Amino acid sequence: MNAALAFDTLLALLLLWSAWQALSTPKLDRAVIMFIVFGLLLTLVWSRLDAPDIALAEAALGAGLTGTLLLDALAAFGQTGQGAGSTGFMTTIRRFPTILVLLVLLAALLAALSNLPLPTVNLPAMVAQQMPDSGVSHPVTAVLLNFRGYDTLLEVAVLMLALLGILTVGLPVERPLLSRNLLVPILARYAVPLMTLAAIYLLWAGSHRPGGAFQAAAVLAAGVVLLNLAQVQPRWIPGQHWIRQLISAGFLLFLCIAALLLMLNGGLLHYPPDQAGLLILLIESGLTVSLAINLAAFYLLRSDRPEPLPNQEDTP
Amino acid sequence: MLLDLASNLLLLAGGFFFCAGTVGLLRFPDVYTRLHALAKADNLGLGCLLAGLALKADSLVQAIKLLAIWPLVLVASAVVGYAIAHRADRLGITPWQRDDR
Repeated sequence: MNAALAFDTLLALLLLWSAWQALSTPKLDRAVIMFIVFGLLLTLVWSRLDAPDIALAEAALGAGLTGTLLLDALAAFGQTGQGAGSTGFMTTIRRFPTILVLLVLLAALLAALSNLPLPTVNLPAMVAQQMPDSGVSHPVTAVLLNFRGYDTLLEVAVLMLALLGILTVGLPVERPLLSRNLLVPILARYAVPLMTLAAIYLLWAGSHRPGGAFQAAAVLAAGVVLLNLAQVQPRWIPGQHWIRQLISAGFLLFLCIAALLLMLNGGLLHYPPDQAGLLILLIESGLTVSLAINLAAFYLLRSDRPEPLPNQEDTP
Repeated sequence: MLLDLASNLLLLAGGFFFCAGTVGLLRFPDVYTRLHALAKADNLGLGCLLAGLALKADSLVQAIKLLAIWPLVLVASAVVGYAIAHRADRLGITPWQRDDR
């Protein structure tokens, strides 16, 4: 018991320390590395809190794919950025109002947290009561895809919007290549089939234990990114229509099922209990493929637009 | 009883090797020697930890799952170690040498 408490305290302190390091260091590359460390520590925190679903998602998305994206951005834009480098007297004066506002906010948050009203609804009991009708036996999946299915629907839409945003900005197609080496492609060729297998397992496991579409998609996307890093799979360009179709297919399938249920049952995503398991598996399979392509596209899909026009007025 | 003892010894050995690897990472002079410390000591430590945990596992499947982690990490760390060293070599970082003569 005491050892567990000591470990948790150490973990919490390390988490705060890595977050502070990531924010305060003037070096961008150090900030990115500390962000990845922060993500890994957060994974440990989630697993200590008995939330393996979130731990899996955090490890794959928060630390893994986001870290890769940040490293890629670092390589693409160079390390010219200077963060909180200058620490003169004037900067301290200028920062004073911000610090004051933040302190007031912190005090207000602490005051609000200290007398938080107890929840009037016992959600875990309600979920447990409804579990037989959900079509799956893992409570997290039941909440994500049945009881609060529309949240997940909107989340998928948000990911598509994020990709749209990246394409609008337009990133350069070329990036500094890694030094050619022979081992990474060999690793990629052997690892990717295993990763695909793991993704299918995660998708299947989602119905009765931690796992599910998001985690499976993250593993698949990581496989595609690995293939790209190993120079087996070139960058995607937006002209390739199959990418857009695949990305939207999962969302459209989800939307069609929701619309169909709305017309038949009069409720958005009110599954009939008999078919709930099948429908959830169908939606999750579609989502796995689409989310995987979507997540990988964050990294691989580059707008083929060349450098921004030199005589643009609005560039500062 | 004997199984518990063996498992605990393996876990302690794993912890020791991880500590040794970390000391190497912090104290060794250049990227190549640090990679050497990490790739060797930490992987041996991981092997000990996994073997120790597998002895404590509830079922055979669980033990096999734990032991299956090891070869995956071994392959990944070998390739990553090579990739880092290769890149460092390309960047022209010369390996450290004892400068007592």
